[in-house]
Amino acid sequence: MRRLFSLAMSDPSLAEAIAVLLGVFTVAVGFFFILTKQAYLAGVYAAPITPYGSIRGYVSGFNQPIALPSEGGIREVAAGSFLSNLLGVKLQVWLVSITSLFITTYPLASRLKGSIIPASGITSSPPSSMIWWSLIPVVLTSLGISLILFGMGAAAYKAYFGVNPTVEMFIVLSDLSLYIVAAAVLFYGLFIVMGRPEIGILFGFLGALGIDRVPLSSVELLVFDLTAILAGILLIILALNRRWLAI
Amino acid sequence: MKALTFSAIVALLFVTATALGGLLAGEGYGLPAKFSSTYKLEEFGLLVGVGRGIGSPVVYEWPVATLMRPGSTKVDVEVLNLNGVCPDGGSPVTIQVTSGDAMFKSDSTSLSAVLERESIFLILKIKITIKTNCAIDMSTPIVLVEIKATR
Repeated sequence: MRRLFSLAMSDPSLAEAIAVLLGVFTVAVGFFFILTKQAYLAGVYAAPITPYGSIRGYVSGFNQPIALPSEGGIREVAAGSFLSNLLGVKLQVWLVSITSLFITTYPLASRLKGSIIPASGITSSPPSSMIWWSLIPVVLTSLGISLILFGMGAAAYKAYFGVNPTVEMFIVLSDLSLYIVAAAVLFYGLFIVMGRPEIGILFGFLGALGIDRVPLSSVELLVFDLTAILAGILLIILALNRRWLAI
Repeated sequence: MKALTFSAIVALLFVTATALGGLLAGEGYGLPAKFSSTYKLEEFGLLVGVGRGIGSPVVYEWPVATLMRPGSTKVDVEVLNLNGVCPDGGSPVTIQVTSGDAMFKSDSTSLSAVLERESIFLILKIKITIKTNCAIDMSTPIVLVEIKATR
């Protein structure tokens, strides 16, 4: 196994190093824009009067002067809206993460392309063991992408709305993080079955598009994520048992 | 490069990107540095007529809340399409802007103020008062208030 790990990760070419850098940069910039835009929208629409309104007046003495809205109140409403908004941008999160995953892993995967089975000769491990072990870097990369989303999301939540992290925040950010991991596991499953990453991305996009249209609550999305991860693992098990391997 | 070293660098890259992104988000980067909005004062002519009849000024007041990058922010408020003549030669309108403990007042159709903000939120209360003792030109039925904030 160590041999395969070294084969994949040692002496990266300049192209591979640049690809990793680009992949991380893509996901960081992408999530930064998604999170700040959703936080901005949540803050603006939590205000009592959103911009571009018509204002009703009164003759002095015939109405009570209005109070300045409390910033704390607006922050609290905005924080809740931010989390709801995040559940509605699953497709954007999927697109950014799969693009990053593709950019980051493609050159390394190219080096290993078609070498998993031959590599079993090098490492004297059976192909199934090689396939399971190769899932680890894919999951680790997706966890790295999730870390960026989780870290930035929590930072934006705390800094923008000045409220302490809540259980709901952890659930929503974990939902999206697991969504990224689920996408990676399914993508890997489809890749070993079909041997073509673009088909995995196409199927993934259609699936993500369908899920994006379903208004799932944070708990429902959590259940969906776990089911998708299990489905990905099941696909790999089936592929190994039925010899559906295309790599 | 050794495999473990490369893996560690990749992991470090992810952690650095997370920290940097969190830091930038916390500083308010990604939020706009400008805000601009125009509000229409509803039933302006009717209210001014009633106000003059009973000798009470007409008041329009509303909160404005948005998110902007924190820092020193210039706020400009301007009442558009309002012409009037007052006996004392002053303006027919006063503008008052309140933000937290700070209050700014102007006896003209425009007001400029500079706010020092630490918060990402910009929350203002705008109060426009139409004086009763002035002859307001009603030929322009739509009176607008333009608010601009620039960091």
